[in-house]
Amino acid sequence: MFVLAAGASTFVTASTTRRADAICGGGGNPVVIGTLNANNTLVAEEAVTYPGTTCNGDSYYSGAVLDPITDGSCAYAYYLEPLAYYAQQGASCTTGAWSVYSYTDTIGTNSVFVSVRPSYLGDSWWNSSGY
Amino acid sequence: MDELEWLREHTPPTRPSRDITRRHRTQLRAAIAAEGADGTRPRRPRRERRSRHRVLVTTAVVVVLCAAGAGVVALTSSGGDGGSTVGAPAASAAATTAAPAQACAGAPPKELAIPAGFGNAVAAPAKQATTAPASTQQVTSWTSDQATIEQRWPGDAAAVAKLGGALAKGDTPTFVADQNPISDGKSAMHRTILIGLPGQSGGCEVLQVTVYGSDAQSVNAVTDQLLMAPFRSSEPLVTTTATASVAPNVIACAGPAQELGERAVPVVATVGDKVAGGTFAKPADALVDFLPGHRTLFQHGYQELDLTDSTVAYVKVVAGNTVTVVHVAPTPAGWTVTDWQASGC
Repeated sequence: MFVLAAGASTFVTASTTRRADAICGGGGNPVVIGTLNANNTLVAEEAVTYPGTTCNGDSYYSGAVLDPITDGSCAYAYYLEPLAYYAQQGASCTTGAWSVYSYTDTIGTNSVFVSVRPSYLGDSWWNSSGY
Repeated sequence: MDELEWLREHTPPTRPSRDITRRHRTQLRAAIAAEGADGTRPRRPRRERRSRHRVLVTTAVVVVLCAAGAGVVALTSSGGDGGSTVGAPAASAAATTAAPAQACAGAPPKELAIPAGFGNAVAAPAKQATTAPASTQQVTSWTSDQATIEQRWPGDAAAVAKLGGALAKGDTPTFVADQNPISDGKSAMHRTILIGLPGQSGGCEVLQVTVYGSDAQSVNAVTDQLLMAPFRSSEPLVTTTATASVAPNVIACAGPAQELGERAVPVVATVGDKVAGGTFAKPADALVDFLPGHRTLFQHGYQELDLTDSTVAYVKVVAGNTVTVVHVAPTPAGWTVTDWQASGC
């Protein structure tokens, strides 16, 4: 579904700690998350890059961020391990382009909170697990 | 004389005496006179007549309501106005039974943007649905040659519990969706989208949309289109009109706010191009023609600036920054888009 390999432009080595997978709704269940603005326009989207090889419980996640609209902001994937880790894990700064990133979880259990959004909106945290 | 002989001589008469008959007739006439002078059958007491009337009226009302309900069901099933507000509790198939209470009152607060090619809204689940909706869910579906879109409000409890953790937790609408089509094990595939509805409460925070189809390609095509623009927007194409000497400059994309590991994120500062488009009677019509071919630009919410050189600039501002400018100029044949510029992100 997502042709990401050719356009992959960003690869971010993940955090120094081990955690759960990015946005997997549990093992074997890759899901797409997205954020709309107040007028129902998609402003950021995140998806699993290689659905067949992630969300498999190995604590390594490979995802991609899409900046779908020209709003003057990159689209970001923020990662949060409460009291342990918070970072812009991935970003796409070209409208219409997917940008690949990864996360290796070395913190606690195999789960992490993920928020995908432009710079001018607040976070909506999703729990990703089983990656 | 024994007893038998005595009884034979004193047998009671088979006919009543004249006196008895006369007395009985007098009593009967008196009774008839008390009930009705003409000897006709007396009327039933008034209370009984009212009860019968109530039964008749109640029966008539029930019949009328059933007919009206059947009419509504027929209308929504056969077309109606095609609006997306059609929705009915899943267990309301029998019009003669009382509809169960809906979990969410009225129509969903946002109208799903059904792609072209789908028929009118039907107040019923998709035929391919793998789980039956609850009686308190509003269910609406739309069907095309290739796929069926089913909307449930609120979303299935199990699906929301599994995936809907961050939905509608703030002011920002968000969604979560199956990344890949899921097979039902037979001939159908589907992808489900859960969309948060900020401002809703009482379990109505999540709208569930499932796309069904016979093949993954059809399901993906419709689902991806819904993910890009799940709802119709009420924002007009042009929100304000003003005059200006020149059009503002668009903001350049500044790139990520912080370093992201070993590899840099590509950044495009600005984009734009000259345009040789059609001509139109009004400048806004030229913008209407231009935008659908540039889907990464906002499709509505522009400021119209009448510039001193007699051209018009349509300006999109996000978070205080000018992110897109589309120039429209008059020609002898009408208004036409001449060029555009936008931020690169």
